[in-house]
Amino acid sequence: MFLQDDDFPHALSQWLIFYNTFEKSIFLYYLSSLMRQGRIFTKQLKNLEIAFEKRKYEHMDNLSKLIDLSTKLDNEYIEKWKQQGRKVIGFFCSYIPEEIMYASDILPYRIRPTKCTQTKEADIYMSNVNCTFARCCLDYGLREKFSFLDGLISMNSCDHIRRLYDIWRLKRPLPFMHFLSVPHLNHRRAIEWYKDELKIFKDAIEKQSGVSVTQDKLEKAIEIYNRTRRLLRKFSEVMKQDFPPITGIEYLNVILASFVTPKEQYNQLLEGLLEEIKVRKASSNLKARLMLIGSAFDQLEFIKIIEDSNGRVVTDTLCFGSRFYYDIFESDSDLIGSLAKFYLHKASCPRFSEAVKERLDFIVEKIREFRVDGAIYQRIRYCNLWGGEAFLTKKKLEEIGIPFINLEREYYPTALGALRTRVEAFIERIVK
Amino acid sequence: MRPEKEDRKNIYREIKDTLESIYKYVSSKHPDEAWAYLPSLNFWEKRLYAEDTGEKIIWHNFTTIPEPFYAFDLLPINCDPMTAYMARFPNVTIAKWVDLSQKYLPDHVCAFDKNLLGLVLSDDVPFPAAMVGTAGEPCDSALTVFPAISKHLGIPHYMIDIPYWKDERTIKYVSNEMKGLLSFLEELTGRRLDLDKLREVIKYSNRAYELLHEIQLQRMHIPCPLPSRFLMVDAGLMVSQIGTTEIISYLEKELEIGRKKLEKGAGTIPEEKKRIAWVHLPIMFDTKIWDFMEEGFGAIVVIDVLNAFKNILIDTSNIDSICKGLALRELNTTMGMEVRGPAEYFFERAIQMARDFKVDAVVFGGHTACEQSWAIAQLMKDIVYDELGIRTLIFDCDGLDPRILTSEKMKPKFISFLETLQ
Repeated sequence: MFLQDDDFPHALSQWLIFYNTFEKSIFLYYLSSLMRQGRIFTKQLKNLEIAFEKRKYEHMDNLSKLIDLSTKLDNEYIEKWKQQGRKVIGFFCSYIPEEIMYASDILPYRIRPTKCTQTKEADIYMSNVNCTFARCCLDYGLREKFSFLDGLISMNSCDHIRRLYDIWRLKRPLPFMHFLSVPHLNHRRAIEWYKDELKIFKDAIEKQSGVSVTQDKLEKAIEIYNRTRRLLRKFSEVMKQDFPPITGIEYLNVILASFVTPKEQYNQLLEGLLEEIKVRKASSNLKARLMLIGSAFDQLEFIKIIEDSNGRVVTDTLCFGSRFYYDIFESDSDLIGSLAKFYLHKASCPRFSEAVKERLDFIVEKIREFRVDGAIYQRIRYCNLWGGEAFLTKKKLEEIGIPFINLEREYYPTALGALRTRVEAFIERIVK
Repeated sequence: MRPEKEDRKNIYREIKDTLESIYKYVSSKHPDEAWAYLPSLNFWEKRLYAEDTGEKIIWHNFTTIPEPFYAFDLLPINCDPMTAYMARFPNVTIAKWVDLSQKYLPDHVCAFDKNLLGLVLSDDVPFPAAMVGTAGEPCDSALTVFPAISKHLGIPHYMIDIPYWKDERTIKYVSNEMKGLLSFLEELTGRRLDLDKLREVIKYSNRAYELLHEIQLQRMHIPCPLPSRFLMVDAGLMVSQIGTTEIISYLEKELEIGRKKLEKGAGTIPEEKKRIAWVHLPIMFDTKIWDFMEEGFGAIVVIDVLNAFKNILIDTSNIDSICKGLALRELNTTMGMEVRGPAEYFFERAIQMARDFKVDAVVFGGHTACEQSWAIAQLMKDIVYDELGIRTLIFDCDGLDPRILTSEKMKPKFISFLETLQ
């Protein structure tokens, strides 16, 4: 059989019979052999592969779908969103109110350089004293790996992120670039300042999308985001069980998927997942219930090391974790003002250096709620925000008798052997 | 439990002793310049005896302006120049305190902050009554460690929030932050602000700004009439003693030296061959590196980033105009303004320094912990070259800790760079 473009839909349906019985690798091997024989073209092979992925995705359970979403840079939801003529805008970091973008028919995309392993392009500009998360993001930006983005939003979250934005803006500007000056304090004056910044932001977003952020639209977006937060809180509750039915890796994957998926679709997946896990069997391999403390963490290899040692990550205070969903937004008639207040008062990172007490209280509260046996404070090398606050966290956890370990890492997986040794020793210390 | 005062080391005494030895060194090598160290000696002597006199010491960070403290008769210590003096302790520099702090902080945290925490943990320093810092500049190290120390000590502290921008809205916001600082100091001292006293302090600081501006104009002359060595002293005094009369007499004297040289048409070194702008933190543990450049190559550092003050004079009509002026100064602090906002702030200041001071070369001796500057050093180098055709030497070091790069290892970098400029 020699496939012609006209035959393609029919041929595809024939070929896809394989997907139920064959693994993707076997399927692709089979197709490749046909291509080598000159019986199909490369383009057709690629299309078949995409079709295969789509069909496979349709038949996945919700957990697998969410995991799949969390491990890829783009996905079919983004593709569909863009097909409808709507824009996708990337952003850094936890204090940007996504609701404003969503209300303007823009898909907020939280930047994560998934599967980054090196930073050659970024290293032309940034230095080796800059953190590898920032360098990975910049590397992907310079290599246009986020080609689906129509814009980029950043803020003065830390020295590395704001400089990565500078370089991205100067060297590979996207059609829309916007920066917000987020206060480091959360007193009345700071809230007023941030409210003004958000008004400027809203105007810029409206101009970009051509869609006005009306009171109704903003209320609806807030409702959708609050729904996500509530569902994630409910989802996290399962980690309180003696033997949680999901692993720490799965827990984190589910949250990560929220950063790259329109929240309405994400909420549906999450609702499905909550049903699925009711009947899921729990693993009893659990020696120590652990908390992960820190910043931009999506290194699943790291959690795997913990869980291979029979530790279980049951809760966290990560930027990419519970700090995203923990606080529920309560609005008043001044929606922009309430958003400013909410984002400056939500569970924070050390850039809010005055909120140490609140941060430590948050950690202690979660330790009690999730019956945590030990806390892993992990930070990316050259992060002075988390590096500078570690000693206060250690002091607090010592006071309440919770074992604590402070681990330095790179954003991408490296030196895993040394990490394994330290994690194993830590878990043994807890179990004794 | 803290040891009794008599059993504790007092680092202020060691700083004073070090300053005395610097004074002696300068007296022998450059006798006409020894007077320049007297204001600093007096400054530390006052702090040394503060525990006995009952005067309150305030610790503040590099980018917090000290005028408000003087208005309340407090004794401010800018912690970064304090560490800079300690970096010149014979043999030990700041190693003891940095190493101690690294039990609690990662090595990449700025040595200024590590040293301060080390001092606190070692009990080698009298603790202050309060701490005041800036949030938003100069860096993440200062943002976290500085307030963390005050929390560790359990003493009051105030953070001035500095936005990313420098527009009118920003000035208004920081003006209110300054008012907040004045209220904090009222509460700390139990005294109402004496507006006349604040006016007096501002009057002195305005005069200091005017004088420094004239000195900057002198430094723009070819050949430069003032030595590099004064830069470090000028910057140390401007960020610590501005608002006092001592700095005025110091700057007047420096200006007079420059004036005499200019009248003779002479430079401070016999043959000025190359003029350099040092656009990042200077090397503080060994300022003799500048002597080496002057004596060996006729290369003089005519300006460094710590001295790139903008001439901001404050209108003392009322509290609003004063706070607005203080905000403007706060937003234009050296090592604050250029590292706080968009990269363009950094590039503009580097270009302005290079252009105004008619330099032949730029040096970026990158303090390792200045991650915000390191991220754009390469871009800055390209932009300075594209705009002005001037080359930049970039190398990494720690301005305070010679264990990262010693002066001896630094010298060959200068030699090869200066040779390429011939």
